[in-house]
Amino acid sequence: MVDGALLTLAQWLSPGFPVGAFSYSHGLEAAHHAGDVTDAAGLESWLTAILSHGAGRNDAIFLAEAYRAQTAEDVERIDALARAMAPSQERLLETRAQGQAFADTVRAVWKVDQPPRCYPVAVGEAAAALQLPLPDTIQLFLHSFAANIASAGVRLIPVGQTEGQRILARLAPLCVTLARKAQDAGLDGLGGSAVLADIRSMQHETQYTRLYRS
Amino acid sequence: MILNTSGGVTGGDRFAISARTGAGSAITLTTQAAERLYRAEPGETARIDVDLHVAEGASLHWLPQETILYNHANAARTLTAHVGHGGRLLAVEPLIFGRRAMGERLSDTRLCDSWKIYRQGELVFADNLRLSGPVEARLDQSAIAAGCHAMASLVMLVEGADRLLPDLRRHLGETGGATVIGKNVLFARVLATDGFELRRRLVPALEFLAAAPLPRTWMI
Repeated sequence: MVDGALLTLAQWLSPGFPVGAFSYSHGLEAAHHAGDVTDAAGLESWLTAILSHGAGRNDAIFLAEAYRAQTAEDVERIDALARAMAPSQERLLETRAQGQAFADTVRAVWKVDQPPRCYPVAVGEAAAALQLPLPDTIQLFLHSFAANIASAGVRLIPVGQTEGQRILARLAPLCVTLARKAQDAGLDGLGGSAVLADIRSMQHETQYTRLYRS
Repeated sequence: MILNTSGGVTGGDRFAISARTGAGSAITLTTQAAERLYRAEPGETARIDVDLHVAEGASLHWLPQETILYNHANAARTLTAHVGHGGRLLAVEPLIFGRRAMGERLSDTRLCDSWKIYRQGELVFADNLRLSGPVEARLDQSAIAAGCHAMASLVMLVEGADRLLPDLRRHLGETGGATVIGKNVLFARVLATDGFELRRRLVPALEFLAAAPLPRTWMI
C-alpha cells in the first residue's frame, strides 16, 4: 500500500472535506416529515435499507467499476449510467454537486485531474490515480455516506449524539460486507428496491420548510 | 393490444416484444389482462424483453396492465426505449406482490426490472428494480415499501415535463412522488396497499399524462 494511503482516504471521506455533504439528507428530511422515521430504531432500519438496497450498494459498485476502468471512455460510460440512475432531481444534484466539489479539491491539492463526475465515480477514479487501496476506499465511502445521513437524523428526529454513534458502529460490519460484495458485482449487479426512499426524495422537492438540499 | 395466450409467464419462458413508430405517428400499447409471473422451477428464470423505438416527432405509450408476482416467481425483464428528436414516450410498469386475496406471502421470489431510455442516442434514464429472496419481509421495511403490496414506476419523455408535475403529484397522493430529472425526463413512483388502491392512484395519473382515457381493456 502507498505510504499514508489510509490517511488520504480518511481526509477525503471525513465530514470536513469540502464536498458539502452536510447539506444533503438523501430524502431523510422528507421521510421524517412523513412520519416514516421517528426514532433511533427507525433511523437504523432506514439506514440499513438505504445501504443494502439503495444508493449505498449501488454507489459502492460505481466506485469499484470507476476504480478499475482502463480508459477515460470507460469511466465516462460508468458516469453516464450513474447519472441516469439518479431517481430524482435532488438525488442527481446530491451526487453531481458532491462529485464536482470533490474533484475540485482533489485537483487543487493532489493534482489529479478529472472532469465532472458523480460522487462515487469521482472517488473511484481519484483513488485509482493515487493507487489507494480499493477495499478501504469503498468501506470508508460507505461509512461516510451512512455517517452523513445518521448525522442528519440526529439533527432532524432528533436522536441523541451517543445513540447516533451507536447506530453507526452497528452499521460498520454491513459497510464491510457491502464493500466486499461490490468489488465483484459489476455493472450488471446494479439495482435496488428502496422505492419509498426514492419517493420521499421526490416529495422533498416541494417540502415547505427544509434544512437540507435533498 | 398484447395478448399472452399461454395465460402467464413461468421460469424458462422467453418473451420479446418490439414496437416501432413511424415519424410523426402515435401508438398506444397495452395488455389484454393482468400478466402473471408464476412459480418457476429452481434455477429457471423467465425473460421478458421490451424494445421500443419512437421515431422523430412520434408518440408511443406503453401502458401494460399490472404484473402479478406469485411466490417463487423468478423473472428478469428489460425495457429499452430509443426516442428520436421531439418524440414522446410514456411507459409504466404496475406491479402487485403476491395474491393478497389468497393470503399469499412472497417468501422466496426474484424480480429484476431493468429500464434504459435513450434520447437521440444519449442514455437519459435508467432504473434497476431488484427484489430477491424474502420479498415480503423486504417490502415491510420503511425505506422500501412500508408494507405496501403494489407499486408502479413510470417514465415520460415529453416537452414541458415540468408543467405536468403539480397535477401529477396530486393524482399520485401521499405515497407517490414525481420528479423531472434532466431536461424533460419525468419519473414517478407510487406505492399502494393493494392493486385496487394502486389503480385508484394510477388510472387518473395515466389518463392525465396521456391526455386520453386508458385503453378499454383496463376497464373490464
